[in-house]
Amino acid sequence: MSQPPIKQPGSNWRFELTRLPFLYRLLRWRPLQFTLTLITLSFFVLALLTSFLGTPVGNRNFSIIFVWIVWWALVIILLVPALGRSWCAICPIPAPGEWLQRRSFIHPRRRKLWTLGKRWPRRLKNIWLQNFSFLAMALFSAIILTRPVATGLVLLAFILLAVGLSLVYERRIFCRYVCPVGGFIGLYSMAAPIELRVKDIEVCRAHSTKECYVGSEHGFGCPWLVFPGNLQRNTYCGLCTECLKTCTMDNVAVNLRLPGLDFFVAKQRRLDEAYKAFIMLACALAYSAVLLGPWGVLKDAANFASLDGWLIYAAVFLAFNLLILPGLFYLTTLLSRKLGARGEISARAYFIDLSYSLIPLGLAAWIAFSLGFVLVSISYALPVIADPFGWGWNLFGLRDMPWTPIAPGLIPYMQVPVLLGGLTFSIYTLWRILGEHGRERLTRAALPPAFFLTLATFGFLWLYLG
Amino acid sequence: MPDNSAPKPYPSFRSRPERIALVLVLLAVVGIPLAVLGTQYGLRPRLAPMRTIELVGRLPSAEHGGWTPDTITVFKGERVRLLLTSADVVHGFAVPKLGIETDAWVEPGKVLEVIFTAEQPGRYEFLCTVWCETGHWRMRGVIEVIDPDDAVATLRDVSPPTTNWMETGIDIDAEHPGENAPSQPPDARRGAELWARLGDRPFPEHFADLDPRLLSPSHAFARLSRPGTALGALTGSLGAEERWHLVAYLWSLKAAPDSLLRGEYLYQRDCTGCHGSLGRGDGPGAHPDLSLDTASDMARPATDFTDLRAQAGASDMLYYGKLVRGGMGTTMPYWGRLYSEDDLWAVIAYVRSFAFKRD
Repeated sequence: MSQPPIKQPGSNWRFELTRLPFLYRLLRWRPLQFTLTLITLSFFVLALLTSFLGTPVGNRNFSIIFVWIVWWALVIILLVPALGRSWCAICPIPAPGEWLQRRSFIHPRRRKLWTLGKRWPRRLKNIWLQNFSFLAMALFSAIILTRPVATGLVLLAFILLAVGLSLVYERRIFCRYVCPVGGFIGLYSMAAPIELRVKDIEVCRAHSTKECYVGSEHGFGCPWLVFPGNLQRNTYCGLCTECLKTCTMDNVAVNLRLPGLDFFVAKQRRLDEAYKAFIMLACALAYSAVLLGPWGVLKDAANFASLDGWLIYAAVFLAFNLLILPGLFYLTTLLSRKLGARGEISARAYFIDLSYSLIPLGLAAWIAFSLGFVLVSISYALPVIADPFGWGWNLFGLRDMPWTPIAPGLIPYMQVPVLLGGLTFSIYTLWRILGEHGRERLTRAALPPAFFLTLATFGFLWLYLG
Repeated sequence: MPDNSAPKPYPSFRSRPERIALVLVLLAVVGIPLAVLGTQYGLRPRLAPMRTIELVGRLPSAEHGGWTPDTITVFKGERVRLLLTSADVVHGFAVPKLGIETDAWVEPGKVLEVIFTAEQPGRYEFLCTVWCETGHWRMRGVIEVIDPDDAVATLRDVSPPTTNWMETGIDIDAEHPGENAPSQPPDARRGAELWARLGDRPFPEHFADLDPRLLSPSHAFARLSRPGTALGALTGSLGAEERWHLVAYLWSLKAAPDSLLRGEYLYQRDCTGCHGSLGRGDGPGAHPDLSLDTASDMARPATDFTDLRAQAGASDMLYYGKLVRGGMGTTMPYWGRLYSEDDLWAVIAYVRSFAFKRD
């Protein structure tokens, strides 16, 4: 019995980048991932060393500047919006565990993977763990982002956890289910204009050996436990391109496409992902208020100035992330359901569906928030390259480069279009998702959640522009 | 497009790319730390033309606060490079008796280099010269300069204060309000003009029978007002205000201009934290809201040098004693081990300028 073809959403326009011979050869070149990871690993080692041995002064310590400003800017402003999960392919944190598991750096070996190969518990096969690990980090972020030792401890914990999990569980369990960063990168990679997909699903269905999942002499089985034939969204594809290398049918491609098509894969929407969207939006608001806002009391509370203050901050922060923001949005979806007469769909499913419209605005908010401090603080990168530990080194003669904010007067002019662009993208996403449930009374149904999105945007504008 | 269907043997782990990869990973994971530590603790000290000592400043109230290390031992004649940094806020650094008085800050995350050679054995105290918190005055340390041939000299304070204020019997912890006090800050210049009109001989000669260091302005005023004396006859026609101008003139003669400038430099660097830049006793260290110390530490507020009665009652020796020993029951620290004899008198002369106007 033949199965129905998987409908690629919005499949009206795609350009197959892997048709470009140079890119095709590059992506199939086995040492590519290793080479890029080696570079990031070198930075990671230096970040760990500086965090523990260097000056405790954040803006003079390589770890703080390169992890929380340079890396963060690279990921949230460039890589995620343009190339989706590409950072995950070259992230140094899972690399040692993966190399150990494979007992190889570049080429696959015939021997079994060096791991107990346990299966990840079924009830944890979602991103709830990533939601909570992100929240746990976010609660201490004012400390982690400013104290080198705290940054070092976090990085060390991540890499040890990744190695430990790779020895017990199959493949990249840490990345797929635990990494707090991977959770939001996956969510926002849905907006990217890049995707890895199979060219023809029928070829996959007819092909029995499935090297893309089990591996072959040409490459490893998907480290992310994803069968490429089922890929319809970027969320859990780490762009390692192993499947591109292993596919004997030459049926895998990297495509350029219109951004955000993954939001419209209706069947794969889930509450854990919806909550990720709330958490990210709420955290962007909270971070903007704490780190960029003028409220000393809030900064003190987040900074652990007193235990009581921090406990109150933590309670409010968690309530805002998990109850208040989702709760308010839930009310708007109830109203939308009523106004749009969409009683046939359950309130829960409707809430989950509409939550995906928050993702573009969330990404835009993070970009706008990051522009606010990255452009101001990125010039610290030169002195810390010259003197990464604050030991008085002066490599390349850059130590005394003054702190020079880049175009501080122009930052609001960048933040406003980014936020308004995000709002537009979100309302478009909302409109299309609502359209899945029928075209009738579409405008009425869209009004309450669109109002919520607009209000959130104005909240950010107020925080950034004052 | 290449054809992946062609069978291809699994590469061996000992294949060349894997071996190169292993070397590169080892370079990253082991090589980078070894290179960093080797450079910092092996190469740099060897390449440095002199011994290098790192000194880290922390707020005195913090854990491991103060200078780390707080005692540095060097050899007489040894060329030493101090690398100073701060772990928290901006600090300053001076070793007055070694002539090290940099105005550069010791900034967090930056390294300040100070090079010196101590030719004389003994103990040299160093201090933070930027008011960093209420316990700022506790941020001190010692450089011990060793002479292997003279162990006793090594333990000695270098150029200690030479005036023995204790012999004078002044109770430096008691209040000394002047019996006489001006109602307005007197003006030394006007005093000089008056004396040029009245004077028969240099003004200080009328006080030659007294130790000028023990004389308070109040006593000097009393002598000017005493009837039946030569001085009293000269100044008898003057009003109280004019006589106070003469007292201010007398004090202005005690300090040469360069000494006064030195006093101003030291006062503004070391005293303003509590006494304030205008001498009003209103520096940040004296502010009760900012004080981290117990109430008893600040049982007496910082002296207000614009208080004319207090200035009138205080002899220079009283100030000298307080400077050398520090104020009992207050946060006034001792300066005897930091300042030279000349520095002590220079600060005292400058402190008078808060009450007595000068040119």
